[in-house]
Amino acid sequence: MNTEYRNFFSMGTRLDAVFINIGDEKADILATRLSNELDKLENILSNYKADSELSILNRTAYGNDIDVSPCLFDTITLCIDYYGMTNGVFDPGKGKLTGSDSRKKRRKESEIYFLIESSGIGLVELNKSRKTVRYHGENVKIDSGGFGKGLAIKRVKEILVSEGINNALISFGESSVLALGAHPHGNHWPIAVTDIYKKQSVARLAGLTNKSISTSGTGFVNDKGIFTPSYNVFDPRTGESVDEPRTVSVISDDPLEAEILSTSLLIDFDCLAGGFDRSGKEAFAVIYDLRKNFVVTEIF
Amino acid sequence: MTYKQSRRIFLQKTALITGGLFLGSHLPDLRTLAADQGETTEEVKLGLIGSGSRGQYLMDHLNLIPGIEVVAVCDNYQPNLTMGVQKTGGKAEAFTDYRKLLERRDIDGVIIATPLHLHSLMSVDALQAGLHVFCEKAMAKTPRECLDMYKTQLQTGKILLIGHQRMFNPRYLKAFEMINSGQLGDITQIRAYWHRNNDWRRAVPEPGLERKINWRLYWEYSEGLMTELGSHQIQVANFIKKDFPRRVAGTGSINYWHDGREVFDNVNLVYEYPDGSTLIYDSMISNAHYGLEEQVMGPKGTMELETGKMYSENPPPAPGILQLLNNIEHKIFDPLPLGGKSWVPETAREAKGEYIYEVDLEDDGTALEMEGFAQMIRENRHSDILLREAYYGAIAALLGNEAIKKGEMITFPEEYIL
Repeated sequence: MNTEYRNFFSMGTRLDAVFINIGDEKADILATRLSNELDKLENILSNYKADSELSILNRTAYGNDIDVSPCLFDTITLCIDYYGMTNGVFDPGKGKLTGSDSRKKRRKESEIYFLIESSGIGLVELNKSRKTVRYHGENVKIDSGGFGKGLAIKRVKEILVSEGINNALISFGESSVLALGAHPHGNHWPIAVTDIYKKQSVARLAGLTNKSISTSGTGFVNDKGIFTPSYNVFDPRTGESVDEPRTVSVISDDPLEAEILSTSLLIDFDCLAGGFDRSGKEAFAVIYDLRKNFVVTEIF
Repeated sequence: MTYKQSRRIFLQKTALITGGLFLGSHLPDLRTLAADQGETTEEVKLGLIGSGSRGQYLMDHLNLIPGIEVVAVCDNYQPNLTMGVQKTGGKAEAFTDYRKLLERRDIDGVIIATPLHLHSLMSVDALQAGLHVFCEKAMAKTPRECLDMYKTQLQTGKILLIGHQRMFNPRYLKAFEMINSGQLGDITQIRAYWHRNNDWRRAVPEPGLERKINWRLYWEYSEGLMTELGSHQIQVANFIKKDFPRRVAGTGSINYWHDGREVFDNVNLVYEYPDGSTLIYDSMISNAHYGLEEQVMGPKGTMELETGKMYSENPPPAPGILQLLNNIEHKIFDPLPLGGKSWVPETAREAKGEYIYEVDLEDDGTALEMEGFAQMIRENRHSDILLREAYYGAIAALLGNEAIKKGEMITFPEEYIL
């Protein structure tokens, strides 16, 4: 049995890949291809690159029809679909309220109200025949933070499957994991969602086979063991921040869906529309109290 | 930061750095220097030969260091001589003939900061006069002169130290230790460059003094960019490779400063080491955008020594990944821990490079080098390692010019291999 490990920087985090029985040459080729593909994706979706396609769209689409690439068009289409499925909780169009812009900003209620009213994916118009995008709100800003890694790992899965890779584990920033096949000495890949305060302790185990798990959290625990909110998790419907220590994990065949749902359920466990297909999926939350104890809540 | 503060930090840091196996064994002189000698030091009396701009720069550093007194200054250009003596507070005896200065019996050593073509002559005379010698880089103007200096040191047993201050720069020492410990993997390529945007001229009070003052521009006295700038960086590359290049090819020309100068205003060379790795070197004085740098590359990462930054080829593995690999190898079926928030580089430090030395010292190594020279005199201890570094760095620089002038690949001559 042969195990190959590769890792690289990508999209502001790191991708770790464990391949089983593919040989070092194939592993090199795959790692290079994955890195290149994710670079392309970053050039489309990054909010941190001023010249990414999304950044340019955010600057120019208010009141204008903007031609976009098929990738970006399809991505925005998906975002609108999930906006509906989550009853408005997944709203990447409120990036000025909920995305990286919001970090450590303390806004007045009136400002929050104004941002809610003048932004959101609901104010984005798609022209399917011409593949153009127009914003109808002056503060619409699509933030890829809630779905970018999911889209990336979905692309990784497509590439690996197309290359005939059926046994691999991909960790993307440790918050998203794709598991193809199974651990060489088991019948699945065992994943442990850890206690954020005691990083060696397991909060909840998950066994994955050809599935992804995505975990979202409201903050991090610093070196002194103190929880620090990220201050960028907001309910886009109300502008209320979600700062108490918790994580939500979602398991799905679709890495992008896992990412979007973990982001949404972190804000509201009950956000999913009644008709949403939950089959083959799992979602659970790990919620911490002031004494740093946790309970695991199975959402579905 | 004062020199005293800077030195204290140096001592603390260098004690740690040179405690490493590599530098500890290769640069024992630094280890001795790092073992703080305290404030009471035996006075070392020095003579300065050549009190032009470089000599005055060295004087400024010498004046910072307790236990060193410059008692004699020599220069055959009166304005420089006056300035040199002034920098000793008017105490030093003035000479216009260096041979007279060498006759002073109360001097422990000399510092030579004259034009390149005089290095060998003056160093050999000083060594044979029984004096220790610090000579500015590059070592000499021809390989033969370099060899003469090396042999004279062997014959006299006196200290001969060539002015490569990077060997006394804590940032470089830290980098050397990190590179030697394998943090970049085997070094496959070094790119070094020194770019400036000026005419490299000094003001000349009267036309008759042109060649005397702007000696760097004429082949009779100088080997141009290769010895004035390149020798520093080639020496660093050699120290990292623990070897010297055996072949060199390249081009050079005067492509901008058509002002009567003779030496090239741009040089572009590829040096090859015995293991097939390369040093790609260039220097120019018509564009300063990229400044100067030594980029050291191996399969695990890149280090930029001037800016003191390291760039990993790969991020650190995710927590648990290495354990997972180990478990797979040992047939253990344990879970992979998954975090809550996405990992991000520490303020993007890893992705954008990591500083290898956290203290920014004002001294570039020059003052520490002067202090090191004084300490070597006190202990009457020559460093053959440092001299060999300077020797091979200088000859490689000179061979670079030869390759350019002949338009051929030049092989390091056997007769100059020590």
